[in-house]
Amino acid sequence: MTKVHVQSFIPLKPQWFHIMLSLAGGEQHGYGIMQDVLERTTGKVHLWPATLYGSIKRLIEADLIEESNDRPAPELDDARRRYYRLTSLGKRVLDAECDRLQELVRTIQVRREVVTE
Amino acid sequence: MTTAGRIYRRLAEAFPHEFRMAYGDQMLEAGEDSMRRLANQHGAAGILRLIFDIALRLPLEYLTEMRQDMRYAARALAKSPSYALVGVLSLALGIGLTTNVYTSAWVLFTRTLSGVANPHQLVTAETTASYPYIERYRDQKDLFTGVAAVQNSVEFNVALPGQSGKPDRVYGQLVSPDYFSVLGMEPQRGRLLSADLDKTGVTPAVVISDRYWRSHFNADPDIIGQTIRLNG
Repeated sequence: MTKVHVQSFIPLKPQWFHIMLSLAGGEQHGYGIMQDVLERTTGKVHLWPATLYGSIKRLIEADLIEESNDRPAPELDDARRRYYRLTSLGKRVLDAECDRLQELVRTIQVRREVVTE
Repeated sequence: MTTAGRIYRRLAEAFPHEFRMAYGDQMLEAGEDSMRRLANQHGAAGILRLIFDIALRLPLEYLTEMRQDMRYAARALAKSPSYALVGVLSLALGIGLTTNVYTSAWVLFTRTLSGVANPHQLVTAETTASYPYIERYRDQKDLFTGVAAVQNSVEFNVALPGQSGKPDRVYGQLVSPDYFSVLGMEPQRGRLLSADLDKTGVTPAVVISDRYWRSHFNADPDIIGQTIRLNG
C-alpha cells in the first residue's frame, strides 16, 4: 500500500477513529467496541448500534479492519458474535491519524501558551 | 417486549438483506442490551436516541447499497460497451413506449374535453348502437338532455375547390346533426350542423377542424360557402 493511499483516509471520521482505536488493543466484537468507546471516553462518545455496525461494514469494505477467525475460549465465547481486528493498512491509517491528532494537540498547546503568556 | 423494543426490532428487520445477514443479529442484540441500560440511565430520552439512530441509518444503508449496485452496473457495462448500448437503447425504447401509452391513456380518460360546454355531464355508451336506437334514446326526453351519434375513423376522399386529379384521403367522423349542440360547441366561422340534416334530400354539410382549415385552406377566412367534394 502506498503512503498516498493511507493519506486518502485522513482525517478519519470520528466513529471510524474510535472503532479502530478500540481494535488497536486487540480483537474485539461489536458490542465490546461499543462498551470500550463508552468507557474510554467516560460516556462522552456513544457509538449507537446501527451507526457502529454501519461503520464496521464500511471499514471492512475499505480494508481497514477485517473479521477475525480467532475466537476466545469456549466458556467466554458467544457463537453469534463476530470479532474484528485491524488490517495492516488499518494500523498504518490509525498511526497516521494519531500523528495528525498529536500534531494538532501540540499546535493547540503552543497557541495556548502564547495566549496565556 | 416493550413497544420501543418492538419498534427497534422492526426497524432492524427492515435493513437491506445483505446487511442483515452480516450484522442483523449483532445489531439487534447490541440494541436490546443498550435499551435496558439506556432506560435505566437516561429514561425515554435514551430510548428515543437509540430509535433515532437506527431509523436514520436505515435509509442510509439502502442508499449505500444502491450506490454500490450502480457502481457495479457501470463497471460491468463499461467493460462491454456494445452490450451496454443495446441495453440502454432497449431501456430507452421501453420507457419511451410505456410513457407514451400511459400518457395517452391518461389524457384519454382523464382530460377535460376542450371546447365542450359541460364535459362532466357527458357520457358515452359502452358498446356501439345502431342509429334507430340512437333515435329512440334521443326521443326519451327524461333520459338524456341530448343524444348524439358519432362514428370515428371514417375514410373520405376529399377534393378541394379547384382541385383536379386524385382526391385526398382524409379520416374524419360521421356524426348525427345534433352532435355539436349536444357538446355545446360553437363554430369559429360559419355554422354547425342543423337539426334537419338527417332528413332525406337535404344537402350534406361538412364541418372541418381548425387544423384542416389551416393546413388545406391556408386559414382562408373566405372559405364559407365554397364546395368540396366528398367521395364523389
